[in-house]
Amino acid sequence: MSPEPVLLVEDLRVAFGRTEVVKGVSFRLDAGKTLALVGESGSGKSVTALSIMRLLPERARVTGAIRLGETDMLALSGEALRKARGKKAGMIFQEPMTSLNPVLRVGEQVAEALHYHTDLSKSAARAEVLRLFERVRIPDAARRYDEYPHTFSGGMRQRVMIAMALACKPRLLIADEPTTALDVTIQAEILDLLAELQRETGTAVLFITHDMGVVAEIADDVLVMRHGDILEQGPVRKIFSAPAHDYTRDLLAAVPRLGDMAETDRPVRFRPRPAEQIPASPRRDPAPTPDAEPLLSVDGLVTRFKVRGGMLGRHTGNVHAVEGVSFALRRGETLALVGESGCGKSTTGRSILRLVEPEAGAVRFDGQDVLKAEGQALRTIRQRIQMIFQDPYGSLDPRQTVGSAIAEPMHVHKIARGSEMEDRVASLLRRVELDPGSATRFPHEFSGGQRQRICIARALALDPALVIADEAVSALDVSIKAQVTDLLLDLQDDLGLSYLFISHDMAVVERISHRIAVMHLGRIVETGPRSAVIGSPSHPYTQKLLAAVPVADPEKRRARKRDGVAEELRSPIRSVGFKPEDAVYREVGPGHFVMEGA
Amino acid sequence: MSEPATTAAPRQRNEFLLVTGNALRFAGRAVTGHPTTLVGTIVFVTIVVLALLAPIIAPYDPVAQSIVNRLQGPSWAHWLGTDYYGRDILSRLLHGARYSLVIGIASISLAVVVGSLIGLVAGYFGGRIDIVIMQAMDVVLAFPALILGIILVAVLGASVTNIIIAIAFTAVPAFARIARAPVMALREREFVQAGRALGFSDLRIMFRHILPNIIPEIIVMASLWMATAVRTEASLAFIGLGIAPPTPTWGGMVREGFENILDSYSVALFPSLAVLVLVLALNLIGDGLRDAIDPKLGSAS
Amino acid sequence: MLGFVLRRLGFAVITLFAVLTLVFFVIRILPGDPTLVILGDQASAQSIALLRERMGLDQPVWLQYLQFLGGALRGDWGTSLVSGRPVIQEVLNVLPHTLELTFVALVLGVVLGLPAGIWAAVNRNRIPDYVTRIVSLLGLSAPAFVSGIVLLLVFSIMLRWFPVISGGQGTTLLDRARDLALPAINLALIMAAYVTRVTRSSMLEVLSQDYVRTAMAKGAPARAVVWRHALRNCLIPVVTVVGLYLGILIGNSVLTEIVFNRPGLGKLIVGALNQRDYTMLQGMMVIYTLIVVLVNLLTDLVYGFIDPRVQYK
Repeated sequence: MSPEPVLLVEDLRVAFGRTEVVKGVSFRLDAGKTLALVGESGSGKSVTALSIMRLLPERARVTGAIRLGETDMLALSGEALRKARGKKAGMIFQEPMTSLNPVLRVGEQVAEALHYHTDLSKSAARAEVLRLFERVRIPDAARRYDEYPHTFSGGMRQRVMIAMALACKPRLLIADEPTTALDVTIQAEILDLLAELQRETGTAVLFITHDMGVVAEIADDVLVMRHGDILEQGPVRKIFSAPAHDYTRDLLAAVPRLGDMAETDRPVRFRPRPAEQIPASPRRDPAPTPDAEPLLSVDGLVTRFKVRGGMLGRHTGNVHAVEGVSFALRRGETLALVGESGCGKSTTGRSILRLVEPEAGAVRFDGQDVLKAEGQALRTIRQRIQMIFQDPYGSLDPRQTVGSAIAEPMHVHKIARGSEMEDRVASLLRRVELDPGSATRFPHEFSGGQRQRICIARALALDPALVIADEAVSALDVSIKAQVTDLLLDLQDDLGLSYLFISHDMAVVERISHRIAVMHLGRIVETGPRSAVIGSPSHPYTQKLLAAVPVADPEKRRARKRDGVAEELRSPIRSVGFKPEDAVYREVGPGHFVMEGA
Repeated sequence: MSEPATTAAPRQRNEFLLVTGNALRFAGRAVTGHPTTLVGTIVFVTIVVLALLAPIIAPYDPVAQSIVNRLQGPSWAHWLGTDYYGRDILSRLLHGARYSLVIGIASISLAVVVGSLIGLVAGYFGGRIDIVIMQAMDVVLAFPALILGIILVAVLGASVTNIIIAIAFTAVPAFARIARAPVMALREREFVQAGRALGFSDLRIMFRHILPNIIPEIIVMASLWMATAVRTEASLAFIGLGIAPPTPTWGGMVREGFENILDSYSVALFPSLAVLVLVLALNLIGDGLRDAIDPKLGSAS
Repeated sequence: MLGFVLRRLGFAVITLFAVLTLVFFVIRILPGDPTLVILGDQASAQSIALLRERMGLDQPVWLQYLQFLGGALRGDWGTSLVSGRPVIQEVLNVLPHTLELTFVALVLGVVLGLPAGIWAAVNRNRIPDYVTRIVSLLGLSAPAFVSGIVLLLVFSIMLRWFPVISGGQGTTLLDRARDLALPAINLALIMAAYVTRVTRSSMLEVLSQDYVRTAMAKGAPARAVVWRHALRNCLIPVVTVVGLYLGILIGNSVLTEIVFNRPGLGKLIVGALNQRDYTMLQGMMVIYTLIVVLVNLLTDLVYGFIDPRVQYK
């Protein structure tokens, strides 16, 4: 161990009013090392990070000791504190989209840090910033120096933030969930970049995250927090091979295994279902029948959004959100639609229900043509296809009681009334493992996971055959995510539901799905049984996507090949009249199709 | 004995009571939470009560002239003095409050209903409908409200109804804007998408799910705009576009007093202060309610 | 850049056209025959017919509309029914007085209101904040004629510092300033109240943004955080609102001009009202519309300079 730690935190306690949110945290961090601070929302991990930089609001009471090298951070104030920020430690944040000032040029925002802490002249500072931009691999640095943040993608902005944080060569870099808001392939690039910069500069990194996969990729040491307490700390290998705490094991279970489930094509629960919960009555065959007519078939679906510009809103282009998407879904089957943000997976889900109107293609549900249905026919279809959304806070009307929210669809579709309705609401709440007494309470009285259960109950009220789950568990904390995923699997077993499961989260996808379809720029680039797609990905994009997913095994930390230059996102916006080529698919295995060409 | 099975109707009434109860508790907290809001509320309620009781408590007939008592300063007989025609200023103020309140409340109620509906339709359906409606609203909004009021009252003629219509007209575009913004935000919220996915009709989503969620903002804005309406009414009367004399209106009283301001300041000053106090009270209430809704701006942390 | 200006200009023309149409129909279509209003109920049929002919009311509505539009564009806004002189001439005679008043009030209001709003936001929930909030609330609660009368009572009648009638006719700069002082201060106080409030709330909003935290994390001093990082972002909504409040300012200038007996559009419009001078009223609406449209255009341009996300293409 080096004699002098870069960062030493002793018995740190932070309180807002009477509530203590960090309850006595101690750790040390040495030069060149990465310490991962892991926990879910409310664990106090971000508060700990902010208290090191003294960026908490004034009303926060901070006690204990924070030593950055020689400096006692808690003793600083005024000018001395200002001089320490950015110089002794740099920080990058979770939201790259809002962390840069929209009205200042990007280069100037980085140069500013040099201006505060060095005597560099304006031109020398500019040269130094350009050098930093090269190092964080921002292409065309000289031109981009004078541009504004809104012309940068999320990943590029995070590179700018890194350049800014490292501008004054601090001995400590604090990274607060720096990749959480990014797509997984961009996340991989940023993690690579951080590791490389760390090797070059010997900076110590304090990495705050909730994702054990990321931890396995980058950390030397791990500190697991919950409700402001440290549950467990130690070297990364020990934490992963022999976690001492149940909670750590839960966190680890939520990380994708990629391939460990190759032996079965059936969904795999996070935790086995307790025997007493399995219904005694003979349940439906959980395995989907391959030869029967599909419940849902989508053929050549196209959805485009008009891009308007100019004073009169002239039609200047189209977002080709969904471009010739075809797939089929059988009864009792789960098809996972995976891809990164903007790939068109959500629009596909919404187009099927005609929440957005598709431009072309055919959608057949249980023998009916969905796109031609109007009035009562459409309402009947919408009764049998239900949707669950991502945001558990947004998908319930805040001014409606839970009972009324669940009853309303039955009322509208005249399924039940009076006391029968009361009984159904109660049984639906029990079905999703909530207390029937919850019916008279309002959504804000429930946690995120509970709200998502309420949404599931509301969706089940109409006895659907198909549920479209749009990132339904993505916003939940990992431990809650596992519970809700298991609930969805139970419901599939008991009710024979089909799921179209839209998600970017491979950990959930690899457990819940029978089959997977990978979307990229509005098209399905690869589709097939889960084991085939994850086990032998054949399209270059699928390979890239899977290679980017962090795996919860520090031993398998991959030496990625680096092409050095970061890739700008390709956009699905095309000019009016653009005719996309038809996609051609090649069958590489039983039911496993890959798109030809790029 | 055992609870009778509740039917759908009582359950919905229960929910209505719950929501109303929550709203009232919220309003109560907002009013008592800030001293300034409390002061505003007390002043406003006092003015309303005085206006209601005006025929009983006013010491004199507000239109009774008395040439011998012209332009007197405050005294025991006339607490606030008399005007050019020897009429008691206090009595005229009390009666004038009724016109200010009636016009303020009626015009803003009208504007709230019409404006919110327009904003709701424009925001919910979006697209062409939205562009056309809001462009039209912007044209009206671009015009100085007072000038628009002047021209409307001048053309329509100065009666209580016409003044109400004119002021409402100037406020409609504002409420359309106020309602439209949250409607557009709510339209993208997932519970609205969920409603559509569940097969709910547009009318149901608009009135059952979106409208209740924008009502708090509308109410806040209504209290702030009522302040504006009272001010506009007084300004119109001051210019000479008020209800015809001798009916007492605050703005009209200021106008008459202003003509004789070199002889007696009290005739112009007291109705001026009355307008100021009423508008300030309404603004204090609106401000407090807005802080309660959006704690970011207020003093509550 | 040129394209942006042209596009905004095009939009301004559309707005102008729409308001002119509105004005025309409001005055023509709404109940009440203007000739009856002008001449009274007892007027003879002959004199009514004569007046109708003079006002062009005997022609079909669409023809009147076209003539009105054409005239408005050529600067021929008809002749005043009262003075018999061209409306446009009467308007242009007094316009400089009103522009002088509103411009000074606008500048003064922003100069007072902007720092006050920032001061309040930075000292949130401390004495400066409370004082600013109450004073500004008072400022926007007072109708312009109320504050005007109070100023007049105190400074002209009691203290005799300023003339009771600000003729606006002074020849020397000092005379002009003395004439202008009270009316401008009256309007400026109202403007300052609005600007203070919107600046305060905008600044509070901006100070809670992520990029302010970023600035602090890189060691920016408090001064730089407020002036370099927050101010420009905070100005974006302020500019919009100042543009909107200019309408309020113009409305209030009418009241101010009456109280201080100062020549200007306000006195002209009230005179026209009292004498039922419909052509004059119509011309007044045209000039007000022009002012409003130009202000909006200016606001849009300023907006584009502050916010780089506004595209000039």
